[in-house]
Amino acid sequence: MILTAIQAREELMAATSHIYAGAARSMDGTFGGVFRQAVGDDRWEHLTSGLPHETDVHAITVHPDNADVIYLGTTKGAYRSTNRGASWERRELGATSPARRRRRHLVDLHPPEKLEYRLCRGLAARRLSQRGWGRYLAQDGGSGAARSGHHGVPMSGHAAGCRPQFPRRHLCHAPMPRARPTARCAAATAARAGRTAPLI
Amino acid sequence: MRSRNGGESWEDCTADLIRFCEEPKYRSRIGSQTEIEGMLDGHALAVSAAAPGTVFLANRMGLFRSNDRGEHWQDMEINRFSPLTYGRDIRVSPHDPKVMYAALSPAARSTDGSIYRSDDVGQTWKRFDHGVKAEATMMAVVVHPRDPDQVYGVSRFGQLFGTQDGGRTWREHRLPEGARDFYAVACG
Repeated sequence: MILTAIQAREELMAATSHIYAGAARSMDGTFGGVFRQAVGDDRWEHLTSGLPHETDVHAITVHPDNADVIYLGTTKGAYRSTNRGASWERRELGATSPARRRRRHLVDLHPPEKLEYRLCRGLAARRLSQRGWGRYLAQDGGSGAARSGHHGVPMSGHAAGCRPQFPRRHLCHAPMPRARPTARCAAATAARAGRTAPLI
Repeated sequence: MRSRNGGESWEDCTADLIRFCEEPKYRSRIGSQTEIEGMLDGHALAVSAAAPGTVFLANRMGLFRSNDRGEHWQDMEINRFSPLTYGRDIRVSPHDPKVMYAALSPAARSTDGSIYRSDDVGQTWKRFDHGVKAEATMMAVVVHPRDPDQVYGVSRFGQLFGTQDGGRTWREHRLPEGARDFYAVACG
C-alpha cells in the first residue's frame, strides 16, 4: 500500500509542471531561498532540505530534458536536485577550482553533452574583481568541475550566454568600470552578507 | 566579454557600449565614480537562432543589440514601445527563436514592472502581461520549456505573475511573506 502511494505520488509529480522562484534577501527581517509551486496550485513550498541556512538564490535552471533535475546558483555554492527540489546536494567545483568558497551567481546549462557552471565572481568588491571571471565546466552532470581559461579581466558579472548552434562560443556581460570599488559593489557585498543595504 | 574559443580567452566588447555615454541620456551614476556605469550594468544576454551573430543585452539603460557578435551595439529603443526602460532580463523562447520576452521596469528599485514580448526578434515589442500589477521591479521572466503558452515573471518583492494560455489571462501568485529580493524564476 505504501509503495503504491509513493509510486502514485511520483507519477503525479512527473505529470506536473512546477514553477520555481529564487530570492536573495537584502534586508534584515527578510529571507531568501528557493520556492516551488505546482502549476495550478496556489501553495508555495520553501525548499530547504540539503541547503544551508540562509541560502540566497540568484539563478535557477531546470534541466530541459529532465524536469526532475534542478540546479541552483547561490551565494553558498552550486546545488543540484534530482527530485524537483525536494532535496539538494552541493556540487563541488573540484580541487582545481580556486572559487570553491566564493559566491556563485549563475548556473547555466547546455545539455545534453555537458553541464556548464558559469560563475560570475567579483560582483562584490575590488579584491574579488581583481580575480576576474571564470567559467567552470562539468562533463559529468555536476559531480565535479574544472575551471576553464579566463582572461583575468577585472569585472563583475550577472549574465552569461552561449550560442546554441556554436556551443564553444561564449559571451559574458560587460565589465563594470575598474575604478575604485564602488558604493554599488559595496552594497551588493553587504546584501549578500545578510546586512541591510540597497541592491541595484 | 566575448570568447570565440570556448572560454579560453576573452575579448572586451564594451568599447562601443561606452560610446553611447557621449549622449547624456545614456549616462547613469548611482554607486561609482563614472557615468558610464549604467551602460556597463548588464543584467542579461540572449542570442537567437533566428538572428545568427546577433547578441541581445538588457542593462540599466534599456535593451541593446549587436548584429556583429558584440563589436558594435545599437539601442533597441525600447522607449518607443514601453514607458519602462530599465532592462532586467531578456529571453528567447525555446519554442520559436523569433519570440523574445523582456522584464522591464522604471529602475532597479521601483514600484512598477512588466513583461514585454516581441514576435519579430526584437524589432517591435508589446506589453504582454495585463490585469495584474507589479508593485516592485520585474526581475526575471521565463517560458515553460514544453509549453509555449506558459510564461512567468517575478517581481523583486515576491509577486509571481503567470499565464497559461499564451497571455490571454494572467494570475498573480504571492510568494511567502518575508521572502524578498527575487532574482530568479524557472519552470519545468
